Amino acid sequence: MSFLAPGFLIAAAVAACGIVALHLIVRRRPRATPFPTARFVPDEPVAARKRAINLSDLLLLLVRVLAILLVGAALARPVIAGVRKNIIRVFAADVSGSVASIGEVRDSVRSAHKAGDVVIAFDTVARVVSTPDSLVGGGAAGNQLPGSLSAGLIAAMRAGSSLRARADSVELVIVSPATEDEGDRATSAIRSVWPGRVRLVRVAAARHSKAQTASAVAFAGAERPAFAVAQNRIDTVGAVIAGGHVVVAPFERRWRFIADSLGQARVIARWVDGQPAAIEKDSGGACTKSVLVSVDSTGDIALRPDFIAFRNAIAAPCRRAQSGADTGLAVLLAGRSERLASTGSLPAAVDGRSMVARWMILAAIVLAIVEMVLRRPRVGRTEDK
Amino acid sequence: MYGQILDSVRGLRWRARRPSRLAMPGIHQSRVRGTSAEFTEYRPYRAGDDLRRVDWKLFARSDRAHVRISEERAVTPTWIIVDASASMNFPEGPGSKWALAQQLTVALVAVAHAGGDPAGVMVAGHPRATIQPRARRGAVTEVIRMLHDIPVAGASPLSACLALASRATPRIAIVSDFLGDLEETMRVGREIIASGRDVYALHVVASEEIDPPGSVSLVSDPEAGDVRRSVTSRTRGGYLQAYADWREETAARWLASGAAYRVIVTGAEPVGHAVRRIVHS
Repeated sequence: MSFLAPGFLIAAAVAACGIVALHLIVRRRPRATPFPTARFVPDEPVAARKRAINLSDLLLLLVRVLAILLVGAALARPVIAGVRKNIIRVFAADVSGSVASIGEVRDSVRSAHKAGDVVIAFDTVARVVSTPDSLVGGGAAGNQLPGSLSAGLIAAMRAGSSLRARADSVELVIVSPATEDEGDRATSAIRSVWPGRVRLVRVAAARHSKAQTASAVAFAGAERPAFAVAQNRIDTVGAVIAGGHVVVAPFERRWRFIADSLGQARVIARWVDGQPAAIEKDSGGACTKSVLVSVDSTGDIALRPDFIAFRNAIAAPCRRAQSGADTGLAVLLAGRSERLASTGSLPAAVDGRSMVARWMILAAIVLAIVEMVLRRPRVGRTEDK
Repeated sequence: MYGQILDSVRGLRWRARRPSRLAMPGIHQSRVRGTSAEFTEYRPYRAGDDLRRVDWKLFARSDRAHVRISEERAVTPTWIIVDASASMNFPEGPGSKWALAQQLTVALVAVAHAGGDPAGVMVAGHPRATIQPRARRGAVTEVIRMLHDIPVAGASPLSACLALASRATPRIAIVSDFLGDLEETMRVGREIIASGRDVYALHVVASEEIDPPGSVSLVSDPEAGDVRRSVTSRTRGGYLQAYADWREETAARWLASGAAYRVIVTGAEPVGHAVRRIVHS
């Protein structure tokens, strides 16, 4: 266990020493003895300083010292993680159809991977894998659709937040061809949230020349669509993003895509929290678009210009897969910062450290109650002190 | 415990310090001249004398009428007032002032009872703890049983008991440390003595009061909780002097009022010796 603010622990130790000293050196009035002829004793002050080591109160002393030390340790922000590292890398490995060879991606990740690093595989969606070898043979290996860098960045952001207790800095390594069709209008905004530099390892891109056009757009309504399942808990999302068009409104999210449908699809719109809101999927020579965004007919949201632009972006023809030519996306991903992202600057996540502190505070409260129980009979016994 | 004490006082007689005005037959000298067998003197017959008291043989020899005068013997009912205030419960244990007071009371009741005098006990502060003066058998046992159950606590005014006991009793003994209402007790005592009755002031003192042990540092009055004093090397001398002066003054005032005053110190002498000093005063 280590402490992020050891000063509190030192202060608690000093306070505990003070309590021990006060326990051993006490100023008290000696116990009065009944004496019928006390009235004949000349009246003088009866206070006396007495130095005593009271062995009978060791339990009370122990409880007090423990309570103080627990409070100090809780304020010192204890960390139960193992050895804290200076740098931990988060690899966002592209395993989508934009990549010519997944093995190349795996080798690139493996060459820089060290124990404790986090590997994220992303295509149209992202997931954390245990080792670089897990990148090959995954469910998305046969996917011919381009990946979503936005999904990879969001997953990397979450992974970085969970690393606050384990490292001082986080380096994000994106292993991807970074073709133009892997980015969207949200990529820039998501990238700007990452507080440090990003290392982009370019791998060879697959070649696609076939243009596709949208043949059908299916919107989810009150009834469950075939491509979605009901949410475990209906929630409200504040915005949805598609093709650089953002619609800010309280959308009720009732459905989510079936996991199998995401494997062969490309995300064309996302909820503001990064979850897919619309996908397009190859269907022979055309493609089908599935949209989970439902609009309340009683409102005016359907008439708003931003929603009209959003709707047009959804209804636009399917994207054309492009070759791996250099684009501005690589520059965008690299960013301007030269420094690594500090874990402290990443959003905090609930981790074991705060829980340990809470348990310590709880234990201190229990000890305080025990101290009161132990002290009560003592006060009654020595009322003249 | 009481068996040994009662053995030690067997045969003692508690004589009245002055002739009794009562005419009840007993062992004490009476002021009343009567017709008992103990002849004292002759007196010339006066009109109105009882003819049965005329000594007819002397009249035959001297041709003058004389009546026989003899002394009467009276009994002396006795009240023993015992102080059961908190100050008597010192030091705690069998050597306390209260234990000594119990033993003195039982012994005095036994001595009075042996002389045919009715003896009663009144515990100050405990109105129900009273045994009226009586001379019948079992009186001593009754007193022992009553004193055994008395709680020793609080502050008990002696003066009220003294006034109550003095109504028709020629002899009153007070067993106390006199640390309570001494002034009022003395005032009532003086009135009782002035009316021709005997008062015995039996001052019970603990040896620890005369010479406090060195372990005592802070002391408090058990009957006045706000009185707290520190016994140090500086204050010890002052205490010894003040307490000795008070005892001396108390003794002088009791004696000056005409009472029989005795100091009994715990552990200083057997109870039988103390009782012997009391009844011979």
